[in-house]
Amino acid sequence: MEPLLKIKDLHVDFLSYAGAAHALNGIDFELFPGEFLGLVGESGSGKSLTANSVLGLLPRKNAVIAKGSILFEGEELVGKSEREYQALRGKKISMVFQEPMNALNPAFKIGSQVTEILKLHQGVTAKKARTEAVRWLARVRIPHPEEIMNVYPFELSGGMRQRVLLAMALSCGSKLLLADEPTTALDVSIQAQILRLIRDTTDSLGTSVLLITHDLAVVAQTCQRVAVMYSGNIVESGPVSNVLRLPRHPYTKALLQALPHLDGPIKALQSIPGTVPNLLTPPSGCRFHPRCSVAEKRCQADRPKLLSVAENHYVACWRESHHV
Amino acid sequence: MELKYYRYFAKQYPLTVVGTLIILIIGLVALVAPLISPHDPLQLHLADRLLPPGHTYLLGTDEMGRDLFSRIIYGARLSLAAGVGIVSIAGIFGTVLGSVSGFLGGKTDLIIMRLMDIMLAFPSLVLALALSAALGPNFRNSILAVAVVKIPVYVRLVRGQTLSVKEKHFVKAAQTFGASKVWIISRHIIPNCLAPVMVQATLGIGEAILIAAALSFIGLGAQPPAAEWGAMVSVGRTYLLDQWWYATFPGIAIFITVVGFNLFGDGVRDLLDPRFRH
Amino acid sequence: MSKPILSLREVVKEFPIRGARGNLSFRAVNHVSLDVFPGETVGLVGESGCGKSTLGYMVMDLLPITQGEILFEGQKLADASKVERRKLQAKIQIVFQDPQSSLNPRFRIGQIVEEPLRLNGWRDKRERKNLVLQLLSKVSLGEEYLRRYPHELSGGQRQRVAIARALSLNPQLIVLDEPTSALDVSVQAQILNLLRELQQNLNLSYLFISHNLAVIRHLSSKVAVMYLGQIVEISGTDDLFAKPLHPYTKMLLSSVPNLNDERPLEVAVESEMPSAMHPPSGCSFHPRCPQASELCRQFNPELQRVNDLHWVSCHNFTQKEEETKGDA
Repeated sequence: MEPLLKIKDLHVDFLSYAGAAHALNGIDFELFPGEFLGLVGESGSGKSLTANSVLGLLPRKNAVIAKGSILFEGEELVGKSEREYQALRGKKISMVFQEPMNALNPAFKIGSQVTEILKLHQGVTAKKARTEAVRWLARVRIPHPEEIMNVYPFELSGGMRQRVLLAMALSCGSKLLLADEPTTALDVSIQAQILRLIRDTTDSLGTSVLLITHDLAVVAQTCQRVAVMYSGNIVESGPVSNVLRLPRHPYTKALLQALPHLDGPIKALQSIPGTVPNLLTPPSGCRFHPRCSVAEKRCQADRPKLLSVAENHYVACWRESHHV
Repeated sequence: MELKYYRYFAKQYPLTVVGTLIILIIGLVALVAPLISPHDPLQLHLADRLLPPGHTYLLGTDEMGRDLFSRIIYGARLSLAAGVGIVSIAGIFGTVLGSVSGFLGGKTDLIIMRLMDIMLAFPSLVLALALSAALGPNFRNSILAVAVVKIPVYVRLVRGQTLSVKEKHFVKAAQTFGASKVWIISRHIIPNCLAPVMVQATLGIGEAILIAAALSFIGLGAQPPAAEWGAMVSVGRTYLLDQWWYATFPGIAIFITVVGFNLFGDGVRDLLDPRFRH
Repeated sequence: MSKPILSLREVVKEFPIRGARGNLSFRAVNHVSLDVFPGETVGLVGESGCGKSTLGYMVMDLLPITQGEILFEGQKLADASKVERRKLQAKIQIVFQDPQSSLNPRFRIGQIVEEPLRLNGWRDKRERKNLVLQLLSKVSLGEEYLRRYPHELSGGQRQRVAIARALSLNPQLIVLDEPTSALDVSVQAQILNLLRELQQNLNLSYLFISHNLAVIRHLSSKVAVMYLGQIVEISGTDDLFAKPLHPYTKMLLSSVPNLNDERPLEVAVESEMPSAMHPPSGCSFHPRCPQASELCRQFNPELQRVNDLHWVSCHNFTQKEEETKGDA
């Protein structure tokens, strides 16, 4: 099967007064049609940056794609003009964000914001757009969609706003949904509802989803495949059951041992010593080596490549995949 | 790191550098005025009245034969003193009143803010004029008058800032250790309100210089024979048609100084904006 | 059993709301009673708006209580004289969620940790400095941090500073208000381990406020579940996670994504927490409860005893109990 999205060796640099920060340091991954992929990492790992690069939302003033390619439906996105991106955004690729309040215009009613999108991308009449909008609000399981059309964003709860945004994102037949921490700002019971909703609606539409999150447990219960990021690199990727049950990269292992569990015996948590590296002066070789408990000499010298260790399971670690 | 940051900033904002240079030059001129002025600014040369710019008198002379160039150089002292003095007084009083008002809230807040509203209801120049006249027309009183008029600007600014700072958890934490109100305001609130005050102050110096000059122009500020730019323009105005240089050069001095401070102030605002750092 | 170090008795907090439709008030905390014993950690869990942070603030005397009483070591805070009150207060400290906001950005780390000492009678500068160094070493920060500013530290290090400051007056109880919610997973583990270690070494009691059930389970010996200002279930930790009795506790537990489970999340009833300004009649959970009956719509259930440590406020629970009793 042809991947819907194929990112190859993507490097993104941030330019600042203090020098260039290599925020993305050679990312490789593919996303297939209808797939639900989790991109997981701690703050500063570059997971949101990856999504923003795909949508061409990098700040033009100080961020540059230094190298690599982003293929969407076989078409190169790197180097596209703002105008070309606008044709893609919302129509073929759409995005939902962590803070649904910021993504909705507080001055307009929900109805006008949803119909606006439909009119813009589908060129339908105002009347048709309105019935469509109500249909979409119902589809994201908003109770009384007719009434919700006439309220302002601030009158809605966070969960309801996120539903509205999801409706807006999916209503134009996007093939790819980028969900950037869509439930981080929500309560757990609402999070479960929204995650379930994203999964159900994208399933029925055949939309691929790239779910960006810091929560491995969310990945476990929503995604099919997962890519773990650390400091601008993907260190491990593969089917959720493989990566979470039989992690191969020391970072993934450490991350899993650092999490408190809901069941099973209560053990002391294994914390990872040190902190996330400064991207202006990243460690040489494997960026995880200063915090890694099994680091060797070559980890310091050379950066390991993301190589296959099992079917569909890739790891970037000298000890795992580079048996020389 | 810091040096690199400033260098990067200078490259991005060339106009700020121009403003900074202007201020530095004027400051230097004010500092070494006695060394560089060719004549005594108050010395009368009755034989050389109203001379056009020339060799002996670089920018000409006034109706008493005083050297305009020297007077403009000495005028920098007065103008800088007026500008800095006004924003310092207004800034200090405004910050204290604003932080107290915002932190205590309730009746104190109500009283202070209504007082400020009343002051803001008058055009600032008119109020400064009235105050200055009431205090008696001299340079020091004119500065005081303008400073008082400018206080509400800072009170409002600091009060707004205080309302957000007082919700920060470090203020709550200090309360749990038994910190007094004075302690919290002076150690936690005010230091965290200073950045916008600094910006407002640098942006306000230009305007303060203008108002002080305007008061002198009207005759409520610096009194003759003091070499004050506003006062010089005021007298020079009567000779404008025949001796154009008399009012023009002090005017240009005011203009350059005010532009310099405004450019500098814009730069300070961006420099202190945390968003710029990233 | 020893005496509780902190007791809440029927505590109520009402916030006035001035609105166009006249002056209303809403109950953020509604008749909450809770005991914290020396050396134990009581977890307070609930979703945003349930009143758990408000409760923490009242314990810290950062908010006045509307009704009820808070006793510290059996002494009523409200009755104590100003001097006594200050002494009592020094024994309770708080660590906030966001270490970015809880440390004054203009202070150096040394000054931050020193502040409570300065305010509480440590006059000697050298003595203070020694104490600060001891405190910093308790949270594994070295002398080199003394002169740094908060923005030079990572989130985890900042939270360590906040903990060191909370320890400065030798407290017996620390209110932990979502202390790890703003931190990354790997750092969260460091802080949780540190808190546990400190508790053992210093015999501290914690009132641990969090929305994260896994974190609560990890640290607490007793857990109280709050919903719309009320405690709906309180129990020993193991019991609560193994046998949740209140439908809200069950819903919460099933909503939390579980690392060890790959099935899609289950959503029983798609509903949201009602606004605390217009609370539902009867049991506040009834609009979201799959088992709600007419009784639940009309009457608010009281907390009922399941065993000494386990209490639940649900009408359905009694009914079931009576049924089984009847059968027997």
